[in-house]
Amino acid sequence: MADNAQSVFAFNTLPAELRLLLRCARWPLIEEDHATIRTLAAADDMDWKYFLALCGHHRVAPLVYRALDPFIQVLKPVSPLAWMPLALYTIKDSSLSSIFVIFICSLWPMLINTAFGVASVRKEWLNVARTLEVGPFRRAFTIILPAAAPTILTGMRISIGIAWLVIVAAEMLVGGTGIGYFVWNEWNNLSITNVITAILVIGVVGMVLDQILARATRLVTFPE
Amino acid sequence: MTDKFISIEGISKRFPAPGGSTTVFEELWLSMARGEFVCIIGHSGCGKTTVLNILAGLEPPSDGTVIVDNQSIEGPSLDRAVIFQSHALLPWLTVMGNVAYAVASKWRFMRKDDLHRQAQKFIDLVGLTGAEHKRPAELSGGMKQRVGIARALSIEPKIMLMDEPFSALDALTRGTLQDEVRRICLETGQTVFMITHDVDEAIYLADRVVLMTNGPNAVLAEIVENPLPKERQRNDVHRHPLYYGVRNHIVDFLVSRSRNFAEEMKDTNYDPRHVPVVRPGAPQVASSRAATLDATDPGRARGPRPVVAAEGATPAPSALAQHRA
Repeated sequence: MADNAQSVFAFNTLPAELRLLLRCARWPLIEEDHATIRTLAAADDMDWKYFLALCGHHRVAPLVYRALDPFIQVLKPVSPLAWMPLALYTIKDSSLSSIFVIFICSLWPMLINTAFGVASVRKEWLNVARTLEVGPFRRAFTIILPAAAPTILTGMRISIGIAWLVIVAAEMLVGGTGIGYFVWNEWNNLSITNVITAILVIGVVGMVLDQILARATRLVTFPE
Repeated sequence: MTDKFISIEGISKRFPAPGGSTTVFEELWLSMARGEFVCIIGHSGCGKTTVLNILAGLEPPSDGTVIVDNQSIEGPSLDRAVIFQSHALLPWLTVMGNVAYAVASKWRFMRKDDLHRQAQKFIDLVGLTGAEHKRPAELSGGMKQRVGIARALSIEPKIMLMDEPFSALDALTRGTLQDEVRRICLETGQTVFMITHDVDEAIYLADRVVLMTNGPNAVLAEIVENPLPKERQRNDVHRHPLYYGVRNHIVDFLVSRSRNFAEEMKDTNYDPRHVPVVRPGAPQVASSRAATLDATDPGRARGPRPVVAAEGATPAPSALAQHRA
């Protein structure tokens, strides 16, 4: 099969992005394909914007995801807080790097839920919009947004839970201000009562944040 | 000749399937006059909803076109309002909000009070005055469907397309809504194309009933012109002498002819452009083809046969022979 391909065209004359795309689209993906994908992806002259545009144009993003997934999976178990030293090293500002780490930790549930919510808007309502000749912006704000709002807010609620967790942890790591720093400092002062009080405060604040978003979710949920 | 307000011209629908394609229907021709109420009846899966979706512009036909008011269809339009089987109301809007949403879609720069006034007019027309501020979750099934009807009417469409609008309701509500729809359509002269399974509903509401055979490769077997008078009432329409003639004809079709129509087609040189028009129980208005069909078809169940009088025969007393103008 590969020989036939070589005789019809020279594979290596294709742009690097197209070569990577074609490799990802192979079925089934065997070990040597993974190795080739790794080499191609690590090339210096890869234009990722072009690559993503190619994926979008040919609507093969799912195939590419399937091929690149093993590498993404390797990064998944890494605790996001382990990114803190790297962030401090690159950003060089402690509060900014804390904010960055909190951001990348808490972003995913919100993103995934938003995508899911928008994708699962009932087809009937979209058909109503079509028969009423509703334009794309009006449809986005008057139909898709209200329909996806409960799912989006649930994602936000999960995100805020994670964000609160990471805030306390980041404050412990970076130090200086905040309740995380207070806990660690009181531990160093061997003041267990203060530590326990601080823990209770952390718990209560987390609960309050959760409840605020739960209430907001209820406000935008309309039973049918 | 009836003016062709809506002309379905040779539409086909095919879906790709493993090993070729499945044809839902091929070469369908049908025309409707302004102000007419047409019901299409057929078994599940014959393609009636596909025809409606093509008429609405929600799906493109594989072949052929539909012409509405001298313009061919290019997608969904405010001229063709659809009432869905499952009301499809937006649950975060109130009744007024849902109807006003449609009005605002049609008249983009209308002022708020004008919008409300127009919406209120149709909410009153369907009998929901006082329920304007309720959300769909607080309404019964019948009320929800009424809102759907109000929403479709409020944009004053050229044609209303109804996809089995009452099949999700209980029998009592269905009866009430049939009365409402008939009253509204007679008052406003609305052109309506409706899909239904219920023979009695079709006879009560429609001016013409189109019979569709079973899929795949479904065809329009016949168009039954309703011989009953326009002033019929739901509670005694079944007492009309011609009622059971029509009803039995349609039920015969659904029971046996819809399945065996392929053989009938061969015997009678079926022409999709000239679907036979039948008027059970009244002097025949259409071609002799229909007369041949009734007389020679061996497959039809022997019930009370619709009277197919010869052209020019003395009509029965005027109450029974209502020729449509």
